[in-house]
Amino acid sequence: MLTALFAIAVSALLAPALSARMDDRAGWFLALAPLGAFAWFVSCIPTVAVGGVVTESIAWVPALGIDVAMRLDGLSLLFALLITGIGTLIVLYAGAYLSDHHHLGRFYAYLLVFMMAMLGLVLADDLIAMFVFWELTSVASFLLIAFQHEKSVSRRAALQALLITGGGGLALLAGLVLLGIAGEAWRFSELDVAAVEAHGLYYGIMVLVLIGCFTKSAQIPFHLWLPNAMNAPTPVSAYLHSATMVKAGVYLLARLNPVMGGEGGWSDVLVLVGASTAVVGAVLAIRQTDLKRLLAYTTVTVLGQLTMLIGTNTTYGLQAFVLFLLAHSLYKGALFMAVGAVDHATGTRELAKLGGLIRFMPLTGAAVALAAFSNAGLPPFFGFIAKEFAYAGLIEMGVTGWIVTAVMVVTNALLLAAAGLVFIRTFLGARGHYPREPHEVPMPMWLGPMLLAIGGFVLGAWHHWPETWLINAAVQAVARGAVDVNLYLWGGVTPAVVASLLTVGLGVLFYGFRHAVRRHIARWRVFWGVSGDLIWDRLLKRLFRFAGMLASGWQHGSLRLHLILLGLVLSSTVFVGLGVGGEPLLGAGAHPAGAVSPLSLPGVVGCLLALAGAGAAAVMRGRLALVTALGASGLGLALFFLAVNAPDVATTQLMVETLTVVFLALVLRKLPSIPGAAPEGRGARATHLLVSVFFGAAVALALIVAVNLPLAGNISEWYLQNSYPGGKGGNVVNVILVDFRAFDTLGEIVVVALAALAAATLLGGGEHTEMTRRGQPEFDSVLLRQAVRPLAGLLVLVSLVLLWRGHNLPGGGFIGGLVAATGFILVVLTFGNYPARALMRLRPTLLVGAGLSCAVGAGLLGLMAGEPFLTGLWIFPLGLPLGTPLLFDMGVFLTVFGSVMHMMQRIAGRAT
Amino acid sequence: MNALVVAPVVVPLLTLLIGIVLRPRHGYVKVVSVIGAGLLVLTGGILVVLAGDDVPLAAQLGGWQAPYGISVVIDRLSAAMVAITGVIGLATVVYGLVREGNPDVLRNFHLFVHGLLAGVCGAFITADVFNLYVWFEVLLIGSFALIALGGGRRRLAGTMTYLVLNLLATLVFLLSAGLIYSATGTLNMGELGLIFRSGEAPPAATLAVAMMLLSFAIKAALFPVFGWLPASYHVAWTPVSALFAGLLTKVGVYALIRLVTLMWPEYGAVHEILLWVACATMLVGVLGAAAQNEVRRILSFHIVSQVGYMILGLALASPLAIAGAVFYLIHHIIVKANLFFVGGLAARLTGSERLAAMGGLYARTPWLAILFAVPALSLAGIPPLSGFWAKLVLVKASLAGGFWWAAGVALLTGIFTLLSMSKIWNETFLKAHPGGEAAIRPLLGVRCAWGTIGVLALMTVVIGLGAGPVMEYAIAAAGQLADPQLHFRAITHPEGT
Repeated sequence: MLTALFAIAVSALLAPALSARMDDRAGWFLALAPLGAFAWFVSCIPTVAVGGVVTESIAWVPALGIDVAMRLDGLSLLFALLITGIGTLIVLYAGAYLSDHHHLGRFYAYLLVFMMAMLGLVLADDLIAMFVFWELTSVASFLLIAFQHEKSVSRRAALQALLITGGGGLALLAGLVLLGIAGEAWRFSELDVAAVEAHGLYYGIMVLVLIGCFTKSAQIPFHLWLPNAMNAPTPVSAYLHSATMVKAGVYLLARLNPVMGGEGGWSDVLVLVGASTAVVGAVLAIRQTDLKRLLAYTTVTVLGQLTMLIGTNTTYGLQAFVLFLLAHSLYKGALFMAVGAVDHATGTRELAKLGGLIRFMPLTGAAVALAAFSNAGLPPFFGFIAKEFAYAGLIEMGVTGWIVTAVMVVTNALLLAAAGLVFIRTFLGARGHYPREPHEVPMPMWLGPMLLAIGGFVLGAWHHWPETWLINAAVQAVARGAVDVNLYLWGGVTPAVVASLLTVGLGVLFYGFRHAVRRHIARWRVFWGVSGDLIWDRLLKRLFRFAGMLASGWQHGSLRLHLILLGLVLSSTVFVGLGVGGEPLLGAGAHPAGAVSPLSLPGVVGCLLALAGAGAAAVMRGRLALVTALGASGLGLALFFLAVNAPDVATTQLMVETLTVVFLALVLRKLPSIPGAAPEGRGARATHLLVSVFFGAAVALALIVAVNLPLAGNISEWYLQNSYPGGKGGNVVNVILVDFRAFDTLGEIVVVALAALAAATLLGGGEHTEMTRRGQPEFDSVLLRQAVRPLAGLLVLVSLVLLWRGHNLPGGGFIGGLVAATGFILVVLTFGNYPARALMRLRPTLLVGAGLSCAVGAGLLGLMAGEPFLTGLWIFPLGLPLGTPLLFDMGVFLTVFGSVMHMMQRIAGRAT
Repeated sequence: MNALVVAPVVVPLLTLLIGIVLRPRHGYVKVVSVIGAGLLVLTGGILVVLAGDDVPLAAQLGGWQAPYGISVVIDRLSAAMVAITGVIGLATVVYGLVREGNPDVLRNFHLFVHGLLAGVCGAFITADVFNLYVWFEVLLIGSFALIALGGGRRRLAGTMTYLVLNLLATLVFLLSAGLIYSATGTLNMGELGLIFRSGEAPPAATLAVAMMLLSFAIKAALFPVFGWLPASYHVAWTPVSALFAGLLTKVGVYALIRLVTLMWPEYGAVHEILLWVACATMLVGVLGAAAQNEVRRILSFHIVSQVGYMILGLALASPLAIAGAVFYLIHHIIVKANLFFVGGLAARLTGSERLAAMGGLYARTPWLAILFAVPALSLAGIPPLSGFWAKLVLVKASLAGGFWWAAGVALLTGIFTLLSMSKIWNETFLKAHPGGEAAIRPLLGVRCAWGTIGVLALMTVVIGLGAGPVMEYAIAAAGQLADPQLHFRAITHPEGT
């Protein structure tokens, strides 16, 4: 079985190439795979007919207990024969039907993929594997419906089918997963029926599975996709949308009937939905004037009847189900193919334009005649037996059965009339007004319908053969208990025979008065007003409108609104967190003894300055004023850091603030003035104020909590104790930066380097401008020129000292790099870019590269010594401690220096 | 072993610094970049193989014991993330070799990519909260640099939104890292996990973690704080948006998974909140995507909903659910990046990114149609592609845990995903081009792009058809996440024992 699937899949892959090489002869080759599979399945008949099963399995996702498990029993075999048998004919048919289409290869590929998926669906024993194939059939159907993709109706129909069957598929997935959980197995054949029935979610499972099956098999109210799917090329309609795929839902219902078909209402739902679908389908069918749409609606009817028949769960009903399934596949496949042939030959499918075709297309006409007889349920065709058994099955159900039988008599009569339309109206009578001069179609196109139609006759006339070899095993697979199968054409005068006679009589009547019937039906305007298609379109439109509204809530394009939302969420989180944490968080924390009090004069001044700067920034307008205010705020912070004995932090803060102000000022001077910001209402401003106060309060509270807590753990003590003996440095801050937590610092200098490169890209044009243009000095003053030279030199010297002594005293690579950069910036500002470049000799990016190399290299040296990355290695020449952490610090220095210089040169190099 | 555990960071860093040195010779930079990315893939592959053991790989950087020094821990999840990062990194730089209009503007592309990769990998391997912050900063600045590449009004506006909102998230993270240190006295994740699991975490630590989770939520683009993502992803250069789409939000998701599994092994209040957030994220994201009318806008907004799935797995807290989240991560990164790559080619062919102005590609370049269909269907969870398994496991875990409504939302999101993908499919591929056949431009010099797309699509198919081993790996990874003792043992005895 797996081989069959594989062979079909391979031929699907080969199809495009083959079709390009061999044109329409490719079909004969491609048909070999399904034909072979068909032959194999035929050879399985003797085994299965006596109650045997054929199984194959390979593991797929063992972690989830999912296998590609195949199990061939009576039901699967029946389907497999239909799929491969009709499939073979369809492949041949398609080759002729689409012989001049430039995408024929693609078409073959889709068709064969579908065939593979459909075959897998009916063979799979594993719930999940079955679902995989189930979804694949939906996708293949989507591709095939949209095959004539330039037409918007095709696209719409394809999408509709995909969404409806896909949506149902998802419900089915949930249902199957629940079923697996409830039935304690992932195989259909191993599901524990008692456990499923006793499970609390039995009804949930039922509803979900039913939605899946009903969408796939076009039951009310999901039926609307099927008639629209007729936009697909005819081979697709014949194969997918009548013979096989739409029966997948019915197949699954049948498959699960032994498990779910207990007392839980399963039967009632199936009968009710099935019967309603049948009636609606039949009524709609008789209204159609397009042959294909007419057939599509009769398919809906049949699907409804099949569903209903499973629901009867009676001896006759289940036999009728299997019989009807087989009969319908044969005659409907034949009719669809024939209609395609008519369309192909005459260029129209409109009933009004057709008639008298038997003269031109005798072979097709004969096939249609045979199929139509079976369709109409006339003896001795197979369709007759099916209908007979169906009535018998319904009547077996008792009172409900009688009512349903009455409904079905009318429905079947309408079907009979429809069959009449297809054959009599098209092939007999006067010559129609065809757009094209008709001709008999080539052999592959009439062969299929003919074989299928003859099949319908043969199986009916010699019904013992199917009874023994096919029907019996299939019925046993569907039924909950053993069922005695016994087919007959004539079983005496039973109620079923009476119903049959009534049907025929009524059907002939309907056909005779078809115009009156149509007129009558057309009067139910209210009913047509609620056409599913309109509802569908409206639904989609509403959905998109709603989605648009939702999306616009986040796509307003306003950074302010984004910030407001973010600020609110953040501060609410903090407040809720504080609320949950309760009082201990805000209570007066015990300060560890000996902590430095921030309440010194410079501390207070610093705080005030910082506050004033921040406040000013909030109210001032104009860019430079903003920059100055922020600078003042930063200066205040630096003062504060100094006051709490954090000289390293303070110096860094100071340098960063200085450089920030310089950079911002340089950039802003060259920008055009601020375009008037969008005018804001008073309300908006108030909201902004409120949100920022809220946010500020939250952050402040969080910080107070952080500071108020006594520091848990012993990390800081450990650092103090190990700084000198372990890290060979007296300055703990620096040892942390370049040794204890050097990995952090490595990340940070990468940030600096990347930021410099990014900013430079944003600031200037390409490399070439930088290389050629001579930057003009920003401050062209003689006095400055005299003073700057020694000052810059001094700064560079200081930076080197800072770098060297950083390991033991305040300083270090980061601060050193900033100081050195400041020195060079002075030079650039005073003398212009070019002299500064000459002085430096190296490209700043090269410095950055060198810096990163030093830092990473220091880490790699540790690795080379067999220690973890960034482990410090020390040597003591002349008692001087030299180690890789110092190399690392040098890397920091170079990276920072190079990065700042890179940005500076870019700014200074820019034309004003 | 010491070298291997830091290789995910060191390899991109070395590539970056060689690139900086060679910067004026752009041809060399390209070669170095591709080699570097290839080495990262190799590193990831080796790590995945080595991480098969239950005790994760670990090292104490600088040789300082935990919690004083920084720990690096690579468990199965980290290893997988590094490997997948390598793959996407390689895909991005290879795709980036296409000949575009203005090469001068894109000069620093390769440098920034490797900078970003260093940050992403750093976040995946570190076991230290502050160090995680540092790598977040690296990837923030790297991504900022990348998104701004090329300049232009529209792009800079998007960059600004991206930068400001993410900066805020990063600052909140910094604040919470400080808070957590002062409350618990440690920054080591393993130790934090033990403190929280003992049930004796101080209230301030809980507050800190709440803030931290929120900042991760912003990074991961969860409801309602995902606003930065749809505002910015579509403005960048194609390979950049693909890289972002694949990796960036996933770092946030990874961080959430890491912390939440370490601290709260059982379903609790945090999971409850996450569950609601996940469901809202899925729905809003997918509906938002359906409302868009440009290829990349659809794809970007859609990322949000996908992140919801991963968080759903995390929120359900069962081992199966977490395995689902891990599987989802792996699958999603490949698929999403690939969709952006394909979208880029489609836009170049048709000359527009607006759906209305596109079309005709199905007839013209059927291969591109197939290469779009594979990741798109996978995204919608159509079997047998990778996305199906991810979704199946999550649905199964939801139903098994009794959260039927979460399963319902997950499935509903699936159908809407199908809707938004089919929107692109119908408009870009099936429909005829409004400008006629002639409006579709021929593409030159994009062989590398085709290769990238093809390989990624192949990976999607392979993960789908051969889901067995991947699922096993994901389940093993989830098992490891559920047992922080393993994590802790790795830190305290880095050499194994």
